[in-house]
Amino acid sequence: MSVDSIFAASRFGLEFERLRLEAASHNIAVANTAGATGHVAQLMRAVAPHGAGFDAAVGRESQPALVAIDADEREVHDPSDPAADKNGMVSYPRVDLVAEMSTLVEAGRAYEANVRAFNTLRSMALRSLDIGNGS
Amino acid sequence: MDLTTEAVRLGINMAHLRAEIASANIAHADVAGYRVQRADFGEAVGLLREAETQPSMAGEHLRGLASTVLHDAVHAMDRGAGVLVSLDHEVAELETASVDFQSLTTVMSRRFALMQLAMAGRS
Repeated sequence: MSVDSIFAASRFGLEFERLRLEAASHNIAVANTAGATGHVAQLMRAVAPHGAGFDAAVGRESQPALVAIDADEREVHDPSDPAADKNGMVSYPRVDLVAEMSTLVEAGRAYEANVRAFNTLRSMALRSLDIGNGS
Repeated sequence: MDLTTEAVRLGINMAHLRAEIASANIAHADVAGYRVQRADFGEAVGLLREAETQPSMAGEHLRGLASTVLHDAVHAMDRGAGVLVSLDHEVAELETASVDFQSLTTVMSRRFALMQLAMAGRS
C-alpha cells in the first residue's frame, strides 16, 4: 500500500460523494415536476463499481458513476393541469424526500471528511521529506 | 548526467506535466465544447522500468527518449463519460502532482548534496 494508492482512495471517495450529492439534488429537483403521460421519470443513483471499497480503491483505478433508474409513479387527481391524462390524473415521480435529504447532508459531511483525510495525508507526505534534515 | 539523475528528471517532468494539464483543464472548465485533457504515462513508466532492469543504459539515451514520450502522453478525451471537467478532481490532481514534484525535488537535491560532499570533502 503506497501513499499514491491512499491518495487514489481519497479521490475515489471525493468523487463518489460528489456524485451522491448530485444524484440527491437531481431527485429532489424532479420530485414535483409532472411527467408526460406514458413517460416514466428517471431518478439518479450513484453507484460504485463492484467491490469498490477502500481496499479495492487502494491498488487499482475504478470510477464511480451515475445511473438513471425508472421512478415509481405517484398519481394526483388534478384535471386543471395541462399534463393531466384523460382521467384527470397527473403523474409525478415517487421521491422519498426524507431519504434524499439525509443523503444530501450525509454526502456533504462525508465529502468534508474525505477532504480532511486527503489534506492529512498530503501534509504527512510532505512532512516525511523533512526526515534527516537535522534540527 | 547519469541514469538515476535522468530517471528522477523524467519523474519531475511527469509531475510537472500533470500539474500543467490540470491547470489547463481548470482554465477551460467553462469553455463550451472543451474536452478534458489527460496524460497517459504508460510509455514513460515503461521507460523507467526499462531503466530499472538495465542499469547499463546511458543517461543520454533515457533523456532523449523521455522528451518524445512526454510529448506523446497528452490526449484530449473522446466523447463519452468523463469529458466534462470536474473541478475537485483537477484540484486533487494538482495537489498529488505537487506532492510528487516536491518529493522528487528533495531526492534530487539530496543527490546533488552527496555529489557536493564528495567533491568538497568533509565540510
